[in-house]
Amino acid sequence: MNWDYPVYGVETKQGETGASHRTGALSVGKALPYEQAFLSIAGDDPRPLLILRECEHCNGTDNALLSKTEGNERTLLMARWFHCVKLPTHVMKEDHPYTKLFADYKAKDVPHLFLVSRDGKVSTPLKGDQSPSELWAKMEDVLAYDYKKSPKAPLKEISKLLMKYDMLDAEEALIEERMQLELEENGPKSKKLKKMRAELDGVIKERENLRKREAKLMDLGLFRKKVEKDVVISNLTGEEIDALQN
Amino acid sequence: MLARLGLLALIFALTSPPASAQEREDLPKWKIDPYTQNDAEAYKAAGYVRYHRVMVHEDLSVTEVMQVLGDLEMIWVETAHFVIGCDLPEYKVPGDKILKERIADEYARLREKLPELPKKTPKKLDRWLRVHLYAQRCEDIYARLQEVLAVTDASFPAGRNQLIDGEYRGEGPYLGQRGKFVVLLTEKKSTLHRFANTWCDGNFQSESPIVHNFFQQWTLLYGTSPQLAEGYLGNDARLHANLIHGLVHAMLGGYKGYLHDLPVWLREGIAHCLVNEIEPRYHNFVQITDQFPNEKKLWIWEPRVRNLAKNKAATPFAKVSTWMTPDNFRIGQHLNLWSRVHYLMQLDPAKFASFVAKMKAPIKVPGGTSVTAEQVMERQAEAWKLIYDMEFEAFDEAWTDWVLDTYSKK
Repeated sequence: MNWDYPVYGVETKQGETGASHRTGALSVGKALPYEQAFLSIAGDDPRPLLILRECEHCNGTDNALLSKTEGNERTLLMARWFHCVKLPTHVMKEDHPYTKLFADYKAKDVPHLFLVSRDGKVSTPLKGDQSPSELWAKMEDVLAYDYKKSPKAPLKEISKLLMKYDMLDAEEALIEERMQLELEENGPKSKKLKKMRAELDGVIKERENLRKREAKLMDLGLFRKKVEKDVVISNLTGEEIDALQN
Repeated sequence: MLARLGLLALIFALTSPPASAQEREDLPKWKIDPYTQNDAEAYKAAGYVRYHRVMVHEDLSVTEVMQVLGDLEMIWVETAHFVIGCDLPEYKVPGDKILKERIADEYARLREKLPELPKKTPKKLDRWLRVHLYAQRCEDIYARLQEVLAVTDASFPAGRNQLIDGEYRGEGPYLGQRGKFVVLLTEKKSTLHRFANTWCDGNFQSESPIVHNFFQQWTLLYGTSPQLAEGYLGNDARLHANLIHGLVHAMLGGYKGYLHDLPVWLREGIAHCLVNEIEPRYHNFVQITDQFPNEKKLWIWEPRVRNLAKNKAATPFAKVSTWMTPDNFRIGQHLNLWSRVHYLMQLDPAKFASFVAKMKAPIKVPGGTSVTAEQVMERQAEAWKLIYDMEFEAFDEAWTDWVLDTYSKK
């Protein structure tokens, strides 16, 4: 999974060579209002968010999201339509910049996972012990809000493609290994090498075709491909949000 | 009066513990090294400069880092050439004979420096013991690379604008870098990524270690985790090999100050050679497209290269020497570059050191521009002529003979 690990207020400075580089996080030392925390985490990514809070128990794993027994392929695929964000264990401390995301919950009910639409209007908290089917249903709800197409049909097709990918990967690894060993054993003039090279070209071409098909299937059509920085639902006035962002 | 003062001093000594003991009491238990009790004399005798209150580089304190990383039990130590942050958990040594023997050997050497360690190598390495072992491993590879480069600490300037023997050798005492090499060993990969997001331009890939040049501070960092490569590095032998490989690249980058990179055939070749001296079963690669390069007996490289040489299937050195970056590298490229460097290193170690030194000498470029790949290749032609003065074809012939004479058949 491609996780994002946001840190509030990372400073960027111009270096001597003119290139910008990050120098570290601003020392905030206080919790940000919910709206600002959400905007900071969402960044410029237009996808809905899947926010996972790490805890001592799950210890950096994806256990709160993935099942130990079934259905992980579907979960991982669906997660690709989300901007996946991991927050550290100390996010629950009262002075952590992002702690207000969890402020509405009693200590024992604090969610492990959030699924949130990109404008913040649809928010689904999960405790991390949900069944895969429950998780998928909630993910579909949020996806339906932010994307034009339903993921159901593409998911079936992409699952088939993944099986083909696995077969092609195994085939490619085998051909490459055989080619290298053939080169070592019988030198570059071996007739078998030519045949194997043609086989390999076939595999590479087939994979390219699969990739194009997959890219097409993955495009569910976001309603908002570009995001405005103040689209999160908010009780603050526009001026207050501007003040926070500056 | 003097007697009274002496009595007062005695009372003070009895009622107020020494500062270090007081500090120890203030520390959480996990911060106290059971083998030195954080006693400065004991840890300095073991080769450490300080514990916990270290600087990652001259503008970044550990306090600042831990504010972002959170409540991790991360142990920070500073050795002669490294700053190490480690929160690796306790590790049960598996039933791998090679690894067990290596750890027993490392432990015996460690015990000479830390006499409080139990006599028998433990089956479980606790968190502090892992720090000590990795600190020793870092210093070991530093010393070995110094040997390959034929340099000592005295070969480098203490600071900026200083020449050594009339030659520019960088900006500071750590192979030419101003800052010590920084090593992060984290239990979770998310810790590495959070660090990279904050201080390394967000420059990381999901399953790869982090490498970063703090260019204003002339400090290089390498960070790795057992969770990387989808858990492949969970085994200590693999993590060790990965650390050595990454550190060798970082240290070669920093050699004589990080002004330009060596061509990949040379730096990756040296990294392979030094990893192979420690752990030849788990090769690491700057880049490789093969899926399982260490599976079955594929990790045994000598007979494979021997066959390449025997069947005239090796890539000519005229081509190997042009590999500046690892573009779609497969195992074939790695076998070729490793063996060429292996040959050069043993052929004449002093010449090899001179060659690398010449390669890393500053290349003059107009202000505000970077050294190009073409300029590095020009430097290589110049250095090869100066040090080896040998046609590439003749070199390939000599290499082939050496491989056939020395590499094992199986």
